[in-house]
Amino acid sequence: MVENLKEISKSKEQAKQDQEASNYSPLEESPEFEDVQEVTSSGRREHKDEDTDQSEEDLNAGVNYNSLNRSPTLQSQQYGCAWIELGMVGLSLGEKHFIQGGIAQDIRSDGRKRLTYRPINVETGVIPQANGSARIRMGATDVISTVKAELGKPISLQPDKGKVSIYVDCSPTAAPMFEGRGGEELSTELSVALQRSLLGGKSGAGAGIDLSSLVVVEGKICWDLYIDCLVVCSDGNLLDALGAAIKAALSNTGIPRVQVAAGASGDEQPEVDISDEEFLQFDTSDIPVIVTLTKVGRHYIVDATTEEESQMSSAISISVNRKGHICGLTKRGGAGLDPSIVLDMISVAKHVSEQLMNKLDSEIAAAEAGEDES
Amino acid sequence: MEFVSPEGLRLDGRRPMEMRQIRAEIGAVAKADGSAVFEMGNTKVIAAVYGPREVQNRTQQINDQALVRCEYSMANFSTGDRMRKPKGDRRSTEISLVIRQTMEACILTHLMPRSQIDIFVQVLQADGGTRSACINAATLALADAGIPMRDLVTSCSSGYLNSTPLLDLNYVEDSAGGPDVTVGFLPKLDKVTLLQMDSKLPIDIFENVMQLAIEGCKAIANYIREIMLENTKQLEYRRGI
Repeated sequence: MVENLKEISKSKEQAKQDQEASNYSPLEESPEFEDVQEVTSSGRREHKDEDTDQSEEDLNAGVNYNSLNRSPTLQSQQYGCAWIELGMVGLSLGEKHFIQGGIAQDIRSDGRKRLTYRPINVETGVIPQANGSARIRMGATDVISTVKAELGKPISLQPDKGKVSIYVDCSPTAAPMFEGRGGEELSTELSVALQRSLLGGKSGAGAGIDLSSLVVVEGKICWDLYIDCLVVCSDGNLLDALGAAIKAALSNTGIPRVQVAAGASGDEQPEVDISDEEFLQFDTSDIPVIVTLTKVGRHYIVDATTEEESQMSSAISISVNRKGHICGLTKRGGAGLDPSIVLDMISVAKHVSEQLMNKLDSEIAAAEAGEDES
Repeated sequence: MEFVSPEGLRLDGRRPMEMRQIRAEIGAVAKADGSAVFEMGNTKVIAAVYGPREVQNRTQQINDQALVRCEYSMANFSTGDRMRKPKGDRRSTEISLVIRQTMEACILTHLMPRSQIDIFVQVLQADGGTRSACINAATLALADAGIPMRDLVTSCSSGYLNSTPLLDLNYVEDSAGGPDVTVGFLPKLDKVTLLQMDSKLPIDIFENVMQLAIEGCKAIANYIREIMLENTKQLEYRRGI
């Protein structure tokens, strides 16, 4: 299987090079190149989305995007989105056309169809010091998610609910640009998107995790769940992978049973005894999965790689639970979308999410079984 | 507190001269030029190497040798109590510096002028000896990236508690307040490149403790060599040679 894939990618690379040779080099050598760049360097981006026929003029425009993409300041102005900065992969014009053409013909650079995920590999219990943890690998994307439970006090407005917070950290091992504070923007963006997708509204309504199950003594003691995610290696589609990792980590989580000492009354904080042996499992069946549809050209794809993400015009991340309800939605990317396309994308995402949910459940069950054996 | 029982066993059941179980794996980060995971007992780190590549910040470019950079970061979940530390605190800056200097000393930087090598180490689980584990992981990752080196650098720590020299301290032993000697060692050249110690120790005992750490480094070097050989054999097999 792997060898087959390699064969495909090899022949594709060959084709890529051929295309490059035919498209790119004459343009680069053309003496007007620099002039053209100055004239058209503004306001061409919208143009690219609609036009799929490649006239000579369009090719020129493509070169200009290329040069635009290399300048980080211009780029972030255009998108205002940290995701895209990951996509500074330095593709040649030929490669870009190859990716776009492949998506249009429903066979992508790695041999997948538009709505096929990469193989998902789930490992649970990877971080022993946490209450629950999981590592998810989708192709080269590799994320770790951990759940830590601490006893805390519920906020006074919602005395019958526990607290859950999600933090994402982008390790510099994933990309040199995450060095120092470089990963902060993306980390925040991912954290917020995950909170929106998995935790529901401010009141906690519609949350995938049943917050009232986290309460120990109403108004006094509750569990605070800290979900920490780490991006170890990034090859696109981080949000879906992180969503899946959180789901896997939560189903791996055991919350210690708590005995509350009787007799505390009034404003006193009751004494508690945390059991070392008895653990309560979470019901994770209501936790949604996140499906990101990335629009490239006229079509949209799931599970885009970094290279494909660099070619996107816009993307929608939809979180769907088992009942087929939409729990959260995030749109990103510069280009606007027709409302009817959005509805169409949602129905596709709903369909894809069923397969993803089943696949993920069986992988998680297999990982848990493997962990018990070892 | 008793760190060595009358029977001569440590808190985690090891003998004083015994190392924790070590495990290494090459190629943990698919997108990096070279990467490795290194585990010493419950301590687990990932190292990734990017480069040699173009210098990102032109002002830092060195005309006759490569620029080596290093960043050490700890995951929020790496320690027992969850904490959210700001990036670039003093401890991690110091460890980054130590790792950078140690690795720079063994990379043949003069072969790659005007280029940059980035080493990123990420601690997933911390249970004492992260410094040593990071250096060992970085060595493997550099080797995986094919960066020319004088020798493999390996590192190990040792301490002195209850009048007994102890090899490879874990977190509990490390926080006992006794001396902690971390040694970085070039096994083939038989040279020490890194030596750090806190607390105090008589000179004649220091010699023993340091020698113990050096023996640990040699044992790790043998293991790393085995792992690299295994990896090379696999590469060879996949190529069909």
